[in-house]
Amino acid sequence: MPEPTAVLHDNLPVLNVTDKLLLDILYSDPQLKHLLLLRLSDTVALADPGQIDSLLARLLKLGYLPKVLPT
Amino acid sequence: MTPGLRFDPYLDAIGSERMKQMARRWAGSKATRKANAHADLLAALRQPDRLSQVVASLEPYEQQALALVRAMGGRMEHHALGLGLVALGVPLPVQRYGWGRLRLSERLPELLLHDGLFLVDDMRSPDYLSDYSMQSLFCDERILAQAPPLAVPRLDWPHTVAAGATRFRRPPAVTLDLVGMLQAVQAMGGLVLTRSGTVRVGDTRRLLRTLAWDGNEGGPDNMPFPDAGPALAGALYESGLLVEEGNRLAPAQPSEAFAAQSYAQQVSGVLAGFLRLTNWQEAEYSTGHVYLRRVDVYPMAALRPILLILLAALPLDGDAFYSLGGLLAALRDILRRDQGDPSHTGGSAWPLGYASNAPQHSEARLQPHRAEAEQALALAIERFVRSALSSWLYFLGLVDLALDKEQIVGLRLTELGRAVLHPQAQAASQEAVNAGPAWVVQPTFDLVIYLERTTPLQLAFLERCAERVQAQQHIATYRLTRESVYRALEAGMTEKDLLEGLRAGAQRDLPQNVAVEIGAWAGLREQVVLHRQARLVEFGSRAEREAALRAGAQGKAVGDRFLLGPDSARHVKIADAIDYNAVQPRSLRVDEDGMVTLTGPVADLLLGPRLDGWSQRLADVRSVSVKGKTVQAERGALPSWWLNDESVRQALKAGGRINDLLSLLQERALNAVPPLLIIALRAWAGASYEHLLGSVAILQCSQPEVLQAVAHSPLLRPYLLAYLTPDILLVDGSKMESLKERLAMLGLQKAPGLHVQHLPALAKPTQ
Repeated sequence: MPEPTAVLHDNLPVLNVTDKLLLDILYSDPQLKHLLLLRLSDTVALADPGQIDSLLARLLKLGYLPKVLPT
Repeated sequence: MTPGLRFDPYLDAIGSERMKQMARRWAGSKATRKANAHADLLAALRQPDRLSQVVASLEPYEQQALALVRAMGGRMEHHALGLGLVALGVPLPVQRYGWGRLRLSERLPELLLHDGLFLVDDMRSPDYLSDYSMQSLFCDERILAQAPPLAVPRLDWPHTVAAGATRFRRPPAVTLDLVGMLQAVQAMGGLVLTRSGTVRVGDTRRLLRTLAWDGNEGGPDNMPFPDAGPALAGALYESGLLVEEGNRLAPAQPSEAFAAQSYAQQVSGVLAGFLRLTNWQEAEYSTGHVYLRRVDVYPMAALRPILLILLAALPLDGDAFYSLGGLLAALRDILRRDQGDPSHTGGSAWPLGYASNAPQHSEARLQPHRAEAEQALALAIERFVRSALSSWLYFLGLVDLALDKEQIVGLRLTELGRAVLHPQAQAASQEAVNAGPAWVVQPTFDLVIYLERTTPLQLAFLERCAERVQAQQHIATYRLTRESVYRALEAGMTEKDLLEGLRAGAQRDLPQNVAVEIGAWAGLREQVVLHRQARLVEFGSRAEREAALRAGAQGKAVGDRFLLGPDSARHVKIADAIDYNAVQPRSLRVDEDGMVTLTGPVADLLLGPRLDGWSQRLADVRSVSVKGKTVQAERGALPSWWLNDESVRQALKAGGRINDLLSLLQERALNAVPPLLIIALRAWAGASYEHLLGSVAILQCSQPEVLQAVAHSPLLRPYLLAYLTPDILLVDGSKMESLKERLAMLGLQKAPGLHVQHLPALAKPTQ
């Protein structure tokens, strides 16, 4: 098998939740759907780098308390 | 703000003689060239022992000048420095220079500057002092470190007053106000500066509202504090707690960090800010017209340090209140000494154009004017002192005031005042004395804080994890909320720290529901995690990712092909890398009809989804480029998107902003985004447009001779605007009906091929 080659994506905002249902619920909110650009898996989505503050504000408004990590 | 308290950056701007004088003074240099003197001086400033020896050899007044400036934070307004030396009672070199009519407070700073002890805090002209401006003198911090302690004379005021009503502020109340202001500034996004450099009036009002003081001109506890908003904003800036960021003043540090300092440190810093305020004064001088000059020109900023010296001179033993009259007399005495004896030196008590042999200037004729001037000065001083005591000195909790019918009649230093003005004598930690239970946590999540028992560290803790509801003289109320607890956890506090901190300061056990709820809030925070700047590795297939994991890559597997984590690229051959903090390459073509087309394969994970949010995708494909080679192409052609009214409106409804879309297109398009599309996008976003021409019509004629005749007719000219094409004329639509009548009169209404009709309106954007 040839050596795996890959694409490195650096400095991307990534949202990680504990279960699939929770991410489904987040995507059901039109505003969050607009801010969560790409769902990579059941529990992981990419956020818009230019809209992180809007994303956090929306999550807090909906009652979530997101833990924010630098990396 | 001062760019530093060292001589070094100022030395290039000083003259040769002054440089040599300073080098002689501090380095014992005999250099005759400026550059050599400069080098000698810099070398001496790096030798503490050398500086210590030189300082020890200085005259007492010079040593006390250094001590005074150090006590005032490293720099001092020059009038204030001169007055301060007079106030300290140190022997002054009055025989030098023959003082003429100038006050000591004007000559002393000049002498100190001349002798190389100080420089003017002005990078362009640090060795020139103007009598007519409020310039500060400063000394290198390495020299100040060698200065002896400030020798404040003890005042012997016989006039003590019996304390009837008294009023003072407790340190926690002061801290809460200061922290509250810093938080308010943070919440406001900074205080906006006007073009003249002052804080916007509305912002100072908002700042004051956070303090909830009563009365129009009132400060805390309704004590007079004129123009408190600008004064507080200015003092916070001058103390370095606010710094300039663009056109705003923003907090230099988080409010919790400020609150964690001792009360004395907090207040000392803000006090230094008040001492440096030059664009605010305690009261207007309104001495009326006096014949003698220079009676009322002591800048109030210069009087503040003198007032502090006098307060520091109060006896520390005993609890007596000292009369305001005694303080005023002491201040007047200092100013009198500063001005000198008018019958000998002239001082300031001579009229303009004084001539000793002029009859109108005889001593007998001048005496009444001198009395008037003295009375005016006394009145101005009393207004200043009363206002200073009730405003910044009271606000900072430095003085305990004795009142009679709300008028100040006496004063003494508070414990905090003693700690600030006598830091060596009050070294014992006030916090250590007070440490212990200071609040009650109620099942309603409210915390009742007993301020007398609260330490600065406890207040800092509360500021981090709870919301302040209100604060009074003895009690403050905070509330634990989801948001406040979340904020504390986000700032690095753990759930365990939080609960232990609450328990440590509580007089009773923590209510069980409070502890349980805090645990639940902390748990909620684990459910959703946002990595602000994560590293993600994308493989061609799940098998390739598994192979990379076996080879040593580390991270969390995401979906089929991704690996998340800082070490996810370890031992992985990276073919292409994208840094999403960097500007991404242009790869779109944007057309006037709203079509957006990818011009080549891109590895960017976000471009497609961002366009998806605004438009309708026409080909659902994403390709990945690896060193120019497409390693994955899901289907046929490259994708394209269609921006249209409906798709844009939906994106806006979901919270999108049209400017974000325009930025995306402008940043990523290879071509210039068509202006017509920009107008359309703005129109879909709700921008309104008005008609450029309310009514436009055309006159079309297939017969050239008819059209030429019409076009060149003076009769019809008022109706016509221009040629549109060789066979079409543009007609003023508002006159179309009368044109038709004219044409009918000319028998042209039925001319073959002649038509007059309205055009659709053109438009221009209104925003």
